[in-house]
Amino acid sequence: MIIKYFAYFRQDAGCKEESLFLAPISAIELLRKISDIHGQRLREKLLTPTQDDIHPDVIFLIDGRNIDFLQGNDSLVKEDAVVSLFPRIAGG
Amino acid sequence: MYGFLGKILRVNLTSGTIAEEALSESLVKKYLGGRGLGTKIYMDEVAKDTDVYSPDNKLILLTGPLTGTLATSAGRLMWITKAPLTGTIGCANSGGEFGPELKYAGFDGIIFEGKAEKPVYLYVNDGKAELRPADDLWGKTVYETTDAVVAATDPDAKVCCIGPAGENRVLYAAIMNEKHRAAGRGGIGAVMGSKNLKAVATRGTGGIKVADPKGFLEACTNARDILKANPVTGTGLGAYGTEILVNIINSSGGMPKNNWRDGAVDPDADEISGETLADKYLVRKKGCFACSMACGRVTKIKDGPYKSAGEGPEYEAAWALGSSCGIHDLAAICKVNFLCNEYGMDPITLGSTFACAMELFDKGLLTLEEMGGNLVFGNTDSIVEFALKTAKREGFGDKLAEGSYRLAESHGAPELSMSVKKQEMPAYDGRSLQGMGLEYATSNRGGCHVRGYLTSPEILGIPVKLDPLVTEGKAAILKTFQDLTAVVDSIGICLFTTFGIGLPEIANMLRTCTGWDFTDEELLAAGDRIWNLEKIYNMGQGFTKKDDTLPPRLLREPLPEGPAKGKVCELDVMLNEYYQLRGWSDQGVPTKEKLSELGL
Repeated sequence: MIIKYFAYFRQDAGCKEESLFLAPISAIELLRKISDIHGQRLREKLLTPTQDDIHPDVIFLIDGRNIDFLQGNDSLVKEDAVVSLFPRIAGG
Repeated sequence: MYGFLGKILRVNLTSGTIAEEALSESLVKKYLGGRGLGTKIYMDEVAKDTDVYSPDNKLILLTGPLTGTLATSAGRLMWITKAPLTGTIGCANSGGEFGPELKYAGFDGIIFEGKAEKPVYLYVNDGKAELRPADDLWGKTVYETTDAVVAATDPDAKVCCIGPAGENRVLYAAIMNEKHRAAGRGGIGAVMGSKNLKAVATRGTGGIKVADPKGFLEACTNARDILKANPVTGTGLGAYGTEILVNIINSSGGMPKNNWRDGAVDPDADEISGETLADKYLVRKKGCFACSMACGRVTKIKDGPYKSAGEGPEYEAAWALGSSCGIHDLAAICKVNFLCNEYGMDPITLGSTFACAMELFDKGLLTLEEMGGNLVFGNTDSIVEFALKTAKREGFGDKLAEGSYRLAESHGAPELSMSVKKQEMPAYDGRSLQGMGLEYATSNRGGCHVRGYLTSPEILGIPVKLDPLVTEGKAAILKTFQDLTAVVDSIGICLFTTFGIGLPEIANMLRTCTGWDFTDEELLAAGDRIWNLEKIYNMGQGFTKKDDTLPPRLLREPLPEGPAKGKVCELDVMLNEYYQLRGWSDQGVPTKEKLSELGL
């Protein structure tokens, strides 16, 4: 699966995107794994302090679909999925 | 009246006379200011069959009761007239500092009527106003004009003006203020040009009285605290500007490519994104009057063929000049955006008209000979060349200056204009953001993203999360957003504040500022009244249900890829519900009962 980072997540991840070779995984579990890889600064932005929920200011897309309209934290990320992670930012 | 100065100027450009008039408090309470009050005055004073460039047409500049106060992002001013591009009511607003300065000079607004025999500019200085010759300014750019008028008036004067595009009546000419802020859409700059009015300068040292200073300060502080704590208004907009939307809209499958022809996922989008702008060209961020968000971008291309400096671009401009034209050179996009500011043009319509010409060429309906150049998808240099030609109406630029609808129609293919009511839609595909499709179709000023902005719930989850691919619930929230936007545009604060604050905070600031006694619901009803007023104007111009639609491409050509693959915009379903919720007939006509309820 390909993980794409945007806005200031890029600084915390240290990259624009990366490939992870993982078996199908839930959205929240994927964020825990990503946080393990990239460290505390990114973890604080992606997960709530107890790590049992995705931070409310994260927009999490799987192949362009927001997990809010899939199965939320339990949305399944398949091996060939493209995940896009955004902080809640805006324009217009 | 608190919040208002209670006075406007009436400037007759034909006779050269200037008169002060009192604002009617009853009218102000009903229509709030800015967009609402300006539309009411315009409709009362201008016959509906008046030609847009006739001396009988009027151009109205109005602020709102919160403009220039401590309220959050309270720097807005509104220009109202008939829009040359669309023939609808034309109202375009801008931030910066001109609006507050005009109020400090003692006036809530200015009505321009007639036509000056020779170019003039108006100088409003602490309660006095005079028309001055501007023959030597005619032909000058926005930057040159602004510098010259400041030099001739006061170093602290704020200046609104048109550039060559407004003089040449480009149908999407803007009125610029402080060089880089644009009242951009619909071609109001062409109306200013038709009146031989080159600029308006103002300098003021007065103040604005509020009804309840302590309560107002508390209301403003509360609103500002909310904005600071909000991730969008407190961090995101300031860090990256509106350009940050490129990647999220594209990743959501909503950023149209190549004149909306080739889907809405651009694999090269990151090259023109807010992140790239911040990495490569951002000098510093910049805020308008009393704004804690500071979404403005001061940008510079240090070297190369597009070496230049200026402000912007915004997301929609970057998209129109970028993905919509198959172009991914952000330096070139910045350069053309700077030219739009310098010559006074709307970059959304300019880029979309380029894209339309490019598709006409692809279809064999337009030749390189007719263009006198190579305006084709992906040709970066061509957008710089044709931006200048358009502003000057040189060669094929004369056709581009008419906008995409007239260009496509003159080549036998009006369906290739990605416009609603002849104004180009910006940057969000209505097939992947269904609510945005409804918004475009029903906007009172044609294809527009800031007459409701359903991107906020559909993509950003603000204030509620709505699935962009479904139609359910979109009509209801759009009506609320449209009414709230009408309020925001009328009272003089920035629409972006609504990413953080809502009706209660806005109403609190307005109540304590004006001393008016109203409920939150009554304030929103004023927005409903303003929306219906604009609708009535448009109906008087011949607009009907058939105009509340989208280009055939969005209704019949399914998206080929991305999360909305296979989708078209299901407009009919949403439109019928929308009319019902508005209290309109199934033909989109406000009922007598609805108009009576609104006091219209």
